Amino acid sequence: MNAAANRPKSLNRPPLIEIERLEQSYPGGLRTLRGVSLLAYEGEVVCIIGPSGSGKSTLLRCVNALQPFDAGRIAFDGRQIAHKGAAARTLRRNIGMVFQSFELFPHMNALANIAEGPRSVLGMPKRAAFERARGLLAKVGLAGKESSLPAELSGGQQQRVAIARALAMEPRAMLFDEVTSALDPETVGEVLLVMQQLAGEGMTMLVVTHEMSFARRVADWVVVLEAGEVVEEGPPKQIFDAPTSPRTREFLRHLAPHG
Amino acid sequence: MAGLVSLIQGNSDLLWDSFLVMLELNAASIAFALVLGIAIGVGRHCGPRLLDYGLGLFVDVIRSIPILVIVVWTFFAFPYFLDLPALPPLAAGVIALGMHSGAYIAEVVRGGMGSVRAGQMQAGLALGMSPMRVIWRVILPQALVRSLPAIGNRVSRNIKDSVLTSTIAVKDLFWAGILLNGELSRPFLIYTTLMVFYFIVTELVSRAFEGVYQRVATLGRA
Amino acid sequence: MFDWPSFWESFPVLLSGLGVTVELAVVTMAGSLVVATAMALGRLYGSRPLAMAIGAWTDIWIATPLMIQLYWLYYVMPSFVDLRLPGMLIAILGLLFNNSAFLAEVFRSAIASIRDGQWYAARALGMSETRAFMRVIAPQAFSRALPATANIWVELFKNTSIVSTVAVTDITFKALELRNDTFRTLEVLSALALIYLALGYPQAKLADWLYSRIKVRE
Repeated sequence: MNAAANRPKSLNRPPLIEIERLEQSYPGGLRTLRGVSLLAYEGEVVCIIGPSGSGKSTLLRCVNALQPFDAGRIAFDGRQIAHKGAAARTLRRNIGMVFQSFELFPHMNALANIAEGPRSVLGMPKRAAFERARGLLAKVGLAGKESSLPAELSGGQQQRVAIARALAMEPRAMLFDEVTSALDPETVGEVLLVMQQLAGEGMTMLVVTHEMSFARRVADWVVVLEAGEVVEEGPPKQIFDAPTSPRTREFLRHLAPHG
Repeated sequence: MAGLVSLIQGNSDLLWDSFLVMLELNAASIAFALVLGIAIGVGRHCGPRLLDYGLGLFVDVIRSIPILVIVVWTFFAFPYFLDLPALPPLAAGVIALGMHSGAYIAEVVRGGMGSVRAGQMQAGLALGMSPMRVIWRVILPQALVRSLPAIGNRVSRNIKDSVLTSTIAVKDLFWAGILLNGELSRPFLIYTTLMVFYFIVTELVSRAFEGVYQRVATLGRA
Repeated sequence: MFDWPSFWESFPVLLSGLGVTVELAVVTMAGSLVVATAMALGRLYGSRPLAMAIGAWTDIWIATPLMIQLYWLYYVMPSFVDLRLPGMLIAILGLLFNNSAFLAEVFRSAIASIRDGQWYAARALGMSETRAFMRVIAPQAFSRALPATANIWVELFKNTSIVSTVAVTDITFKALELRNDTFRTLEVLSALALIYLALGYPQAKLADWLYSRIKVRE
């Protein structure tokens, strides 16, 4: 399928995230994922693109056990993932997720949002957690916004806080679920910049996105998902410049020029 | 007006004591109602089906019976079930009012929790929090903020209902008014004053809750 | 020990008071519907002084306890009106003032919640204001007000118990009377609670159902 030779970052190691023939349907019969297989090696940025409704978000939610699946297997760091309970929670400590709708906690300011994970889950004392939060807030370019409530921040700022919140758990991999789709065009750039910075630092990232120029520039590997199936995958050069599947070509043709 | 001043001066001890009783009665019953209401609301929202059903039954029963009947029944029936000689009127009043207001608050809290976006739970879980922790740290606080106006309503209602405890001889302000009227036969003065007093109290409580809600509304909006 | 015979024997006596309870509730509600409509319309479309007066009147009856209202009317009315009004009439009056105030608020907010655009559309067709109200606004306000009105009915039914404190012989009064005669307090009160439960529970559930149904339509 995808020979390791094709993927420079594999370095002869096993993949960090391994999805094998994943099947998922919603009650009522809607089959969202029909045998999806995908690998992500440590330090890789894997971008998942495709038309709406192709199951991209569902796929992402399966990886950190937020969404149960019907068949297939998912392994993280070589071990099959748990679906629920304490083992699932441990998994989620190691995988960070950023949502399209930010989902910041509205009753906490920016600093508290970022510190919440370490405090609640890692049992970090308040001062240490807030210190870490402060550092991360500065890292995403929002130093000075510590006591701002989410309602007082722009969409792009909120999303950057959300990224910092996920990073506070020091995860080994990050999942990005169309994190710029709900943003005004002016603020999309600031979020993508943070993501690019993260990629440069070697974070393993699964990114569902419509931002094709970002995928082209930053991704190590691109997976095209349509109607619950992997239609094509390969390095960005292949997917964007010389796609082998007609369905990929069809999808790319329909995108807005900025893609 | 002069009549009012002399009335108050002449009976200041009685009025002060009964005012304190009114405060005690309401503070205790509202505190009880909040704890009970939040516990039931959370229990119904997050608990197993059976618990939801059982608590729902309790809430529905309370909502179907007049508060006066609940007050009187609590005063006479509780001692029987708890094997006590008698329940002090104030305690009975607190329990009855607390259960009644608590049942309504439970419904408000339950609705509030249901109205918080699913994404909030997902975000909390994604950080590795346990579901109960997400409820405690993320969902419930937002639900409570959203519930403030309705809870404020319930608090006002509690204060108005509290005068019914005079029927089981709780010596609150209304009871004092009845007593004074029996002695002095000045119903217009006494009952009008009581009306004005309770009007002011409930208006203040409503305004207070509204004011707080205006300030914190964004904390509940996800 | 719970004396079951006394429990069962309470029922006939209690149910003899049920007639008064139901009568109070029905008469009050019927009257309230009329009065509340007038109040709501007056407050929304009347002159400023009228609106303010109605507002003040409403605030008084909403913000003060029903029991004090009844006492006030019971003891104070005779000073104003030269006749000693029968307790039943006072009770109805008190319940009416109280209930219609709450109902007027429900009607007022239901009517006010109809989008302005509806008015414009109706008037643009050439309708007079009255006709626009009758044909367009009122029907929509009606379904919006229905759930809350059902709730008010449920509350009214329970509130009738308070007239027992001014010696009106409703079912609660009968219970307290019976208790004084038989001293079987627990049994009598339990029977009373059961009757209210049997009547109130289905009504409350109906009101809940109305709430869920109307919400779906929105």
